[in-house]
Amino acid sequence: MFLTQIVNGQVSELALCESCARAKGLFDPQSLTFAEKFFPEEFKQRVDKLVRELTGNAETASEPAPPMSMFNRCPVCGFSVDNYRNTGHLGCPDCYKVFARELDPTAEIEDAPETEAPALTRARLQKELQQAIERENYERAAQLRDQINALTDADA
Amino acid sequence: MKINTLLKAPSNWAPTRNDSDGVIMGSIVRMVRNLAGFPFPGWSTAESRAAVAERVLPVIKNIQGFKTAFCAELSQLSYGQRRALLTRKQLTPCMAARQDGCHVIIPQRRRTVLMVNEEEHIVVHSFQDGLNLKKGIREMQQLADQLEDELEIAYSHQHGYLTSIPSEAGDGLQLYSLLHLPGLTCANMMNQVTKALEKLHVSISPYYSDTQDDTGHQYVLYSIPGPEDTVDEMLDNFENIIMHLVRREQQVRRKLLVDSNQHLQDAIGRAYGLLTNCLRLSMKELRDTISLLRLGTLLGIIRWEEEEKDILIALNTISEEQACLTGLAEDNGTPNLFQQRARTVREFLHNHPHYFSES
Repeated sequence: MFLTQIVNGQVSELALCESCARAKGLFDPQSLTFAEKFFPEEFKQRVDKLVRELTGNAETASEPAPPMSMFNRCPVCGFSVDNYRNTGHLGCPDCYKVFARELDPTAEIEDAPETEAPALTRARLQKELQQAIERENYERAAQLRDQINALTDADA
Repeated sequence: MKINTLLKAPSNWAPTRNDSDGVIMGSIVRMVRNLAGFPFPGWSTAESRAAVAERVLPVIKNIQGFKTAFCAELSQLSYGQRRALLTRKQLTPCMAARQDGCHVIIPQRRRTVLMVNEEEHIVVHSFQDGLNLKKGIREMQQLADQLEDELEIAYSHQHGYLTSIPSEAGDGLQLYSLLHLPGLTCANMMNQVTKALEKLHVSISPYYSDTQDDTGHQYVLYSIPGPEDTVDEMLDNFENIIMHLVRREQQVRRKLLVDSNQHLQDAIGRAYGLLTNCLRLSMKELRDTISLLRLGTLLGIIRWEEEEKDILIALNTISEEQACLTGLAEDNGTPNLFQQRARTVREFLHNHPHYFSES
């Protein structure tokens, strides 16, 4: 698909493959023409922005892309990269770090977490502690209490 | 507050006297936030959802306006109650299907609904008159600040507020507006408008379903947040598009009145005739005919002795109330619902003097 824009006599031309045009919402020439007629000002602003984005990306496209994420599964919530590819959803806030390269191949990688979420661990331990007390298993309850205290100290 | 009291109060979507143009029926600002360290509700266990609710609920109940709010876990609500809340837009379809660990909080005096463990951990809808989105955004930002003082919210400098769908991460605000577009619908232009809006990052869908059903000629517009759009840019773009659409709708209405006057009067007259004489009325018939009655009122085809704005509000209230009763009928199996509905409308028309003007 070819997109030609003329602003103040300056001509800018873009050539897009079918998949890129579809991703940018430019796949239906008829509705494109209607959008231009029906919402002329809003359409012009949107196209201007698109041209800026695409020409901006073209300047940096020659840099080699860094390698993809080394994780296939989020260690915090167990969400897999395949789940993300199939649904477009993520499992937890930490998935953003774990699948950073999947979300944006040019992103700088922050330290990804390697264990279960502390808040969840604490909730799970407290529930187990409650159950241990109800069953009068005080030895297990004492172990769980110590684990919860250790987590609290680590947070502090 | 009990559920029955809540359902007797006017809906959050109920238009007010500030809706002047007869096109924009209301707007919603949706704010979403997630807690750091917990899986998103769509990928979480019942324990995890319970842990989120345990943290969030005490904080919300301490916020001014939420202390005496209606609060219920979804598993406590019957199918009919959920349907009633859904038709009043006090639950989202996603939330209505949820069970344990998911809560809905509806304050008495604020036109706000707060949901815990919807698609995100905390989802708040602020309902506004007309296109008063700025006020809604301000309210949501104040509420967000209060939540952030007490809770650890998932945020990253790169993505903004983190959400279960990465493309929606950012300011955590989404904008919706409900429009009544009988002109564009009758002129068969909605397909073209839908495609045109997609190019401008605005989605439009029928109010009463996700399909191509144009019942009641009401549509919800939704601003799709772009990754680099700020709230102000998104708001400007959304408001410009809506105002443009409102002008087009009004132009098309005037054009229909001039070019297809007989067809238009016939359609409105048939709707009026049905409502004044029917003995049974389905919800779809009610919504479609009330939409045409609204159009007839706005174009001066039906003239009322009372003020036009009050009649428009009353017509909308009938539609909302009947939808709510239909939802509740799932529980108590109210017999003769179709007859009751028809009687309500006949009584309304009988009690509000008016005449049908022919030109």
